[in-house]
Amino acid sequence: MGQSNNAVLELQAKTPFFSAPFKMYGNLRKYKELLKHFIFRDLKVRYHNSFIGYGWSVLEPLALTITFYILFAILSDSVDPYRPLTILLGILSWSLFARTLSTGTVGLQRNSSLIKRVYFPRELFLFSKCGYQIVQVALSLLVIIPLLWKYELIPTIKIIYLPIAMILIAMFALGIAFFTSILQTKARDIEHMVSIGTRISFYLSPVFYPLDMITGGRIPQQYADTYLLVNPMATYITMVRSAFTGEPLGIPIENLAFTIITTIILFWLGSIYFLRNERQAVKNL
Amino acid sequence: MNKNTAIIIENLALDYPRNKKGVGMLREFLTGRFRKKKPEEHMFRALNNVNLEIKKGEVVGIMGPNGSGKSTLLRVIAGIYAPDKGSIKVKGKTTLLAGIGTGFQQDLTGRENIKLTGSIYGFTQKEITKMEEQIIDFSGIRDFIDDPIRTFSAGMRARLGFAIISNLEPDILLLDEVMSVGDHEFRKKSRARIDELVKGDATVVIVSHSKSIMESLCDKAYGITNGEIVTDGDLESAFEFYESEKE
Repeated sequence: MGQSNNAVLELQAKTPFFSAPFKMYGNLRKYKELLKHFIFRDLKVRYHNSFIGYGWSVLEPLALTITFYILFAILSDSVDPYRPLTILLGILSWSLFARTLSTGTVGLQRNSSLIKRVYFPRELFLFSKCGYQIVQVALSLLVIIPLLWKYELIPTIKIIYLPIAMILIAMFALGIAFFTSILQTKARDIEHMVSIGTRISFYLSPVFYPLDMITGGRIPQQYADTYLLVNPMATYITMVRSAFTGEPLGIPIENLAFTIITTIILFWLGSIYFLRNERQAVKNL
Repeated sequence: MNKNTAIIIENLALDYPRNKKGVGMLREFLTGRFRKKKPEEHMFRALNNVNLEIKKGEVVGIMGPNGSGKSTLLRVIAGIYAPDKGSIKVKGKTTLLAGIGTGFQQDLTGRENIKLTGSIYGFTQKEITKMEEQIIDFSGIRDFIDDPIRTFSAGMRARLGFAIISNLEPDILLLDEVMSVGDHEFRKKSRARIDELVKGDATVVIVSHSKSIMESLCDKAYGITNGEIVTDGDLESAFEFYESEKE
């Protein structure tokens, strides 16, 4: 792709440091067709030989939403006017994060036979999984239309939170996956650690309950602040909800800024680590 | 780099990590990080001090016993592994043919797999569409091309795989023992196709154990053992070396 007959491929390329994310961006642009192919492949494979096809990407979050809705109706006395919407958006945002992270972590290891036979930038394995999850979430988001209609919610300017939060969630998940995917080639333990870690943080993040249940006065204010700082997903899920309900975020602006900046730094450091180590890591495969 | 040179390799060395498994790895992780280790303890030098210059259009064979570093050398040329020492320059698009059906997706149809494999090897949508009919004709399985390839027999899959990669036409072709797939008829056809590719403009590097293939195709051949190139490119001396290694 793009290599003309006279292009000289030098295999002693310097490992980029600060420019790592830009180098990745350049690679993605250069190989965008392959990226598209990988995403479509995953979509096709998923819907081949199934009767409902697309329906499954809607049914799964719906079923989970109904379960949590019933659970909460029994267990909790909190009054959340948009409860089904809250739960559904939480689950969709979370699945973007968790699936990008888990499939990204094994992205290099599971593709070892391909990696050993043909060269293309290896970050494609991670970005293609992320792109696939974004497409999935976008498709699943269609089911909230009836809910919006029921609550008579008309999207306001706040809808801009949705793409911003989605990109930040993807960056956060990829930022971690850059590290774990390299480490996974050395030790298969990483995949299990990631899977346990995501499951625990599923309950610790406001996925099936509103953020208000944690920060709304049940615990002392300084703990609530710390919680927001160490759990970026709490902020991003709340942003996605706010995009549709139009309610205020309820997060101090300095906390919000801190969360976004740390996510960007994590992504940046991750991309440096990935590009500096993938050449050695693929030898472990 | 000279205009007529396709590949230039200077003082190249490549190490594989040797990781301990299981408890050993944990122990190493917990204790070893703070102790300085000799490199040979956790590294295996797969290629050592390799110097090679291959001209445009040349057909070069690499011979050597198992584990001598032949496939690793091809992977370095294909850009899969970066050298740990020395340098390598490659001019043009390389395709490594090693094993058939790289990147095949069992649940997709033959046609979809042609597109996928083509893009994996770096070809654009337009180029692939142009090659598609030719590939299907060559594979000889037109009747089944729109079925998922998990329903194919192993031979059919191999035919399709060979048909795809042999029709890609790169500038530099790296062949790693892929001469024999399918039934007798198809084998003859694929051998003819290899001959055709080799005789074309492409620069070719072949790894093989077969003296007859080397003799009929190659301009030059190198013997390789323990990661070092030990002969000077002369066909006869490479064969002599290979015979002596057998004993």
